[in-house]
Amino acid sequence: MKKLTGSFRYAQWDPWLIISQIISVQCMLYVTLGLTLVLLGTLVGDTRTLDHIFEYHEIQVRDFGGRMVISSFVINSLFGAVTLWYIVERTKQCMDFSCTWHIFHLVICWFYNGQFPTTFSWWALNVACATLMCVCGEFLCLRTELAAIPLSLGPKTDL
Amino acid sequence: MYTLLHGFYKYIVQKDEFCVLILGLDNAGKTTYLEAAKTKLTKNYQGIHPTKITTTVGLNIGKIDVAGIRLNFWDLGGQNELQSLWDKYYEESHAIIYIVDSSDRERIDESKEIFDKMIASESLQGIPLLVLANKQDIPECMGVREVKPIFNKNAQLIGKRDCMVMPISAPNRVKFPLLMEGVDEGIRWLVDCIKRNAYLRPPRNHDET
Repeated sequence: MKKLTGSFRYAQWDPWLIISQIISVQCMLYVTLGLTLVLLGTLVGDTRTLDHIFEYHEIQVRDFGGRMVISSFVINSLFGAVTLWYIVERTKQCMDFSCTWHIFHLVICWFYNGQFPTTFSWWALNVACATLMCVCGEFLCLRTELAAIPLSLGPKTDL
Repeated sequence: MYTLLHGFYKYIVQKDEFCVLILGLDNAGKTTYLEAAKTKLTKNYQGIHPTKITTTVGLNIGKIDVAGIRLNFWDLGGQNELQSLWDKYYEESHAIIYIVDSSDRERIDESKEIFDKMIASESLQGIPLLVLANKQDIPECMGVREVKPIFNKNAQLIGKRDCMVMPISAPNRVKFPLLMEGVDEGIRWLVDCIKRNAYLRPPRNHDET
C-alpha cells in the first residue's frame, strides 16, 4: 500500500492546518466582535472605538456602556461556537481552540494596556466566555459528528 | 495550540519503524520465538507461558523498541492454508526471519520447499534474511552444520542480501542460557542490516507525508 490517494488528512498531525485554523478563528471572531459592538452601539447611541474591545476599564457593570460591552462579548462567544463548528468541526479540539483564542486575546490586551490584567471583571468575563464558547462549540460539533452517514446504494453488487 | 505543540513533540521524538516477518512451517516455534524476543527486549513484559502457546491463526504482532528504532514483528501462521497469506506482507516488510524446526527431520524438505518459494519472490529482493534453527535443546536435533547446507542448495535464489543462520532455543532459558543469547544477537544483527538497507527500503513513517 503506497501513497494513500484522496484528500482526507494524510497524517495524524497537520501543523499548517492547525495554524491556519487558529488564525482564521482569531480573525473571524474579532470581525464578529466588532460587528456586534457596532450593532449594539448604534442601538444605544454610543461611540465606537478600539478601546471597547481591548481596554480593561471598559468592562464594568456600573453604566450602560459597560454592560453593552459585556453583552457583546457574550454574544460573540456564541458566534465563536458557530465559527468553531464551521472551521474546526472536531469536538475534541473545541476546548483547545477556545482557550487558544482567549490566550491570544489576553496577549493583545496586555500589549494594548501595557500591563497584565488584574481586574476581576475582565477575568470573570473571559473565563465565562471561554467556557460558553467551548461548551456550545462542543454541542454543535457533537451533533454533526454523531449524525448517521447515509450510504448510497449504487448498482447492487454481489456480496 | 495544545494539539500543535503536542504533535510537534511527538514528531520530534518519533523513531523509524521497520517491519519484520517471522515465517516458517507450522510448529516451527515462531510464536514462542516472538514471545521470547518480547520478554528479552521489553521491560516489564509478562509473557505468555510457553506451554500455553497454541497454533497461530492469522498473525501475532509484536512491537519492540531496540537500538533507537521500532520493530514491528509480524508472526504469520505457518499452516498450509495460511501460507497463501504470506505474500500479501512481502511488499511492506524490511526483513525476514525464517524459523526451522531442527528436530523434525521428516519435514525439513517441506520447509526447504516453502523457503525456496518464499525467497524467490520479487517483492523480497535484497532484504536481509535470518534463518534460525530452533529447538536446539532437543537431543538428536540437526545442528547449524546440517541445516545450513540444506538451505544453501539454492544459493542463487537467495541472491545478493545479508543472510545468517543461527541456532536458538526459545523457551529454555535456564538450561541453555547461551542459546537465549542467540535471540538477542540475531535481532541486533538484523537491526544493523535493516539500517544499512534503509536506502533500499525506507522506514515506514517516511512514506506518509
